Amino acid sequence: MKAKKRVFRFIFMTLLLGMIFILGTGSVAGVFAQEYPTRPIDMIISMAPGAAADIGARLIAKAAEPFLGKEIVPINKVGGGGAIAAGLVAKAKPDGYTILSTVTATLTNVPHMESLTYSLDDFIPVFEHGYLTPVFIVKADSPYKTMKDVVEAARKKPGTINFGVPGAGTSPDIAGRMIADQEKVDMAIVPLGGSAPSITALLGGHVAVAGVSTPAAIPQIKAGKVRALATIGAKRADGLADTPTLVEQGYPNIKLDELYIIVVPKGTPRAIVDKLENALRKGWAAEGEYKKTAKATYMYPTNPLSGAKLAEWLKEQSTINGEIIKKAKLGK
Amino acid sequence: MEVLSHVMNGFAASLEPVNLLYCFIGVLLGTLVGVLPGIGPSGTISILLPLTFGISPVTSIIFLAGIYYGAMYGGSTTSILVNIPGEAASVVTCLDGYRMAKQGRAGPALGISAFGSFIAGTISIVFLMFLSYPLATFALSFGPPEYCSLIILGITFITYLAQKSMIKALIAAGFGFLLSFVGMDGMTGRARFTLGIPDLLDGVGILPLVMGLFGVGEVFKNLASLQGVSVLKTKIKNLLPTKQDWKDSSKPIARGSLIGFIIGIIPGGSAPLASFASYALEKRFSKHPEKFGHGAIEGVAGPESANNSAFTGGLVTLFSLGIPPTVVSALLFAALMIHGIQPGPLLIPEHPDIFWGLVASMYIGNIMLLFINIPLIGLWVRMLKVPARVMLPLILMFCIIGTYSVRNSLVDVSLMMFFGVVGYLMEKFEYEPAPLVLAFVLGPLLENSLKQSLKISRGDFSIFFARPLSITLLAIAAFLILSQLIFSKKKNKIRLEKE
Repeated sequence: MKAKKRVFRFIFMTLLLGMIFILGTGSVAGVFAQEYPTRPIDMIISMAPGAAADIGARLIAKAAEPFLGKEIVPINKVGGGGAIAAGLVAKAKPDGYTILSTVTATLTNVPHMESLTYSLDDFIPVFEHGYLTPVFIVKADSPYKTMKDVVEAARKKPGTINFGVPGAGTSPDIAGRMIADQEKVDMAIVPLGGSAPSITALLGGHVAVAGVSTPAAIPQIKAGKVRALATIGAKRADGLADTPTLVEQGYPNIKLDELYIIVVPKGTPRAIVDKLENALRKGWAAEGEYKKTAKATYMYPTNPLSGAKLAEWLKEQSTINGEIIKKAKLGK
Repeated sequence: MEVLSHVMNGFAASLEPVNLLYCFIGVLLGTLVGVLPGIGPSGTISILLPLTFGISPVTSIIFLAGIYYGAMYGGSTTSILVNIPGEAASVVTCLDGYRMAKQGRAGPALGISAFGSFIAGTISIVFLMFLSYPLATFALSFGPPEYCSLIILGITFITYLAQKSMIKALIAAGFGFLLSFVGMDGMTGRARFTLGIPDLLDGVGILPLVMGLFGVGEVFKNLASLQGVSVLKTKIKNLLPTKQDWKDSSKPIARGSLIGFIIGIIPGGSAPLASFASYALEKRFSKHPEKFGHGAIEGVAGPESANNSAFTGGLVTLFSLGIPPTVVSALLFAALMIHGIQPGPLLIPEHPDIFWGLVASMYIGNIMLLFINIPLIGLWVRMLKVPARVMLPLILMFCIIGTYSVRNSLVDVSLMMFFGVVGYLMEKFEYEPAPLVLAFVLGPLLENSLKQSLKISRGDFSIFFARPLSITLLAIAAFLILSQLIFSKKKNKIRLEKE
């Protein structure tokens, strides 16, 4: 009898746990807003839990909460390079209670590659809470010192130079294609599925150059295993101040920063957008876990873009990347 | 001798009360998320990451790693009890573990998987301590062509998973490959077979597939043949493995630990391959391969050990090269970065306390896990006595919550129900789901590594034969197929003569 009781208690506990799971992931429908926000805000995160973009988004949300007076609830909707989360938020009620945190490629690159239900114009950009400048690296004992050296080698011995990049349509992929296109040389751009596999392939000598994220590259550079060849952002990267950009090395069109941003659906009232931006900016400036972590992972923007400036930046990136993607026949 | 003093320091650090406490909480939490299908260790770790801001770096990494290897122990529980694999690696455990449970031997199955995990965990930590550096160099020799050949070798294991008809197994595998093509093409980003559903851009999820085919399929099957009140139709025999069980399992555990560790070192998401490889190996060397799939304890002991030591193998590249090969290891690195410690190739020389503290805590954590899991067996086994009218809806509920919790997608839940029907029909017409799952897991790996290799060689196939490691792997694959062909011909001949 006692055993039976215990079994039922176990079932009860598991049911209870299940309920907690459901309540934890769901959202509660709220009442009308007098002064925004009157209830918790859902922040849809397009990246997997634990990704750099996810950690950054969760921390900036925590940092901004005190200035909003209400909780920001992170909800991960992973997949399709952020397309699932973006598609969802584009269709959400524009009342400021559903906001999207994603990497800029979701809005500037993915719509050019896949047939989607949303475009860049469906969103109002609010705030940049992180930035990432990918970097091209070579093995420490490699003969190449600049990107031009690599190009020369490819010209002399066609079919020998390979670039490892994280994936099709990522900024290192686009940068590599732009270089090959501008120089008219044979360089194979090989998508290897992430920064970690790209570094492994580089160290093993399977590719000559790897384009990876800065936080992944810096420890390897400090240990003397690899050397930075060029960063691919508009300005030199945080933590890699000695590495010239591709712009400096004779490729003025290649300015491919990736930003982590927060956007809201088109049609959200101006006052709400301003209030959000204000709170996020105060959260960005505050001393705390967000600032500490973002600095430690080289993602902290010293002068974050927001509002109209961010919108302008996104438009420009979308135009450049759209052309490249079309030319390279990526996607669609 | 230097290693020994490091080990002593590591133990001193991990035996501090606060570290012991966090290690215990970590492995306990890990066991829990391992048992509950769905949200896995990586989800749990990322949610708990902010909790580690206030504690020291050593303590936080001991805590977070504990969650991960703790989940490895718990993962087999639902596979054995109710045929729900919580991840791709546990699919193999379903094959014989669930049969054992049906024969009233859930206790020994759970016991041997806990002991096997413990032994494999301990052996592989020794490998990690003493062989890290040379093994890391071995890992680097795997480029896309070598990886492609390894996957081709892995595909030959499909033939070992076939229990009834080889042709039907191959048809199931073909279906698995087809399913794996859904989603964005890894080389061009072009969407394939997505039916315009954005949720399918990343392909069919592994959890909706395995939980549908196994867990939900089993529920449907039970509904169709519901006679008694209990899912379990026989009496429960002993709770712990018998002497004979130990005799049967000792070699599979040893082999599983070794092969799991080797496959674990190779970068690139090969963890499920470790358990499949161990299963194939045991069936190949078994004196009674016909028992596999009908409750052979070797089929549980080997893969469960391989599973665990593959995790430790993954730490080799993490610590000696400073490259995180999996999501979970990337999270461990993130935890260190938040504390201002630069993880990378210099981590061990600059912060020996962290590495050795973690290694020592893994010994202690494994012992804790053994003591947590062995008493739980009694409780789990008693769960089998729950009447079917309560049990089946519960299983269904857990499958739905588990699938939904991974990425909050209702499309995934619908997919799982669809695969539940597929699983039921496959069972009805005697198609086996295991070859399907193996093909599904290996499909994208094969496709991507093949295309990467050909891109590097500018379309020249000789890249696979010009490199020694690659050609060796291909030769083993060819040998396995040929030996099977000859073997099965002989068997057919004997069968014909008998008739």
